[in-house]
Amino acid sequence: MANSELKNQIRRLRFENGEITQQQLADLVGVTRQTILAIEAGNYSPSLTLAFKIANAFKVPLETVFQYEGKSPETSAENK
Amino acid sequence: MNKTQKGAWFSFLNSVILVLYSVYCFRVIHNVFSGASTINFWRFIVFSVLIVFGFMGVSALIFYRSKQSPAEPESDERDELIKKRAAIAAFISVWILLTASYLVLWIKLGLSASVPVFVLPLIYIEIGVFVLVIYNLAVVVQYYIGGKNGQQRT
Repeated sequence: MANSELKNQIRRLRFENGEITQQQLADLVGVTRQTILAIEAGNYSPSLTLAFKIANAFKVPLETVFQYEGKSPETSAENK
Repeated sequence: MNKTQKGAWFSFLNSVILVLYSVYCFRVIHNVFSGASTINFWRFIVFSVLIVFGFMGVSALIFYRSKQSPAEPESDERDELIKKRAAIAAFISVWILLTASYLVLWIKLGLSASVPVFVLPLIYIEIGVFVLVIYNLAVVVQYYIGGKNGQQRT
């Protein structure tokens, strides 16, 4: 089941950074290829540490890699 | 497949084979001791051990091949999360299986019946093997449904 609230640009960033493979990115951030695959597919939301490691691997800010598209707390409170 | 996933498949397949073969063995041993079968008991035991270890060896060759990459870690945060949840599922299943085992005895034999002493260790062995199956099944299933969110406390 995909996590629809957290979007990521890992696939695009991989291709923009010399078309690195999932395995190469996994080796750079110290996880298995399956974890990168699951994050990229939106099936797994990484920990903050891993999210920062991925952003550092691409040398971009965190929000360039991950975008939260869920409701903000203020919006949720206003709706109640 | 990463190392944790391969390990889970290896243990899952072997424990399922072990459960199925044990059921078959119990039937054969029962037939031998009741005189319904005339096969050589010790030859059957040696054959069974060879079958089980042979399957373990073949599945080990399939699942424990080289790593995907030399830099691949033994396990990462997602693997740990998956294993933690599988352990919780296994722990819960211990109590369910234990209760179910005693309930079956109660329903089948009645409240005031007695069972031979060797039945209790058999129940614990049966629960142990089933818990192994449940743990590995939980690991394998979680790899296919994603493993969900990191840093989530369960």
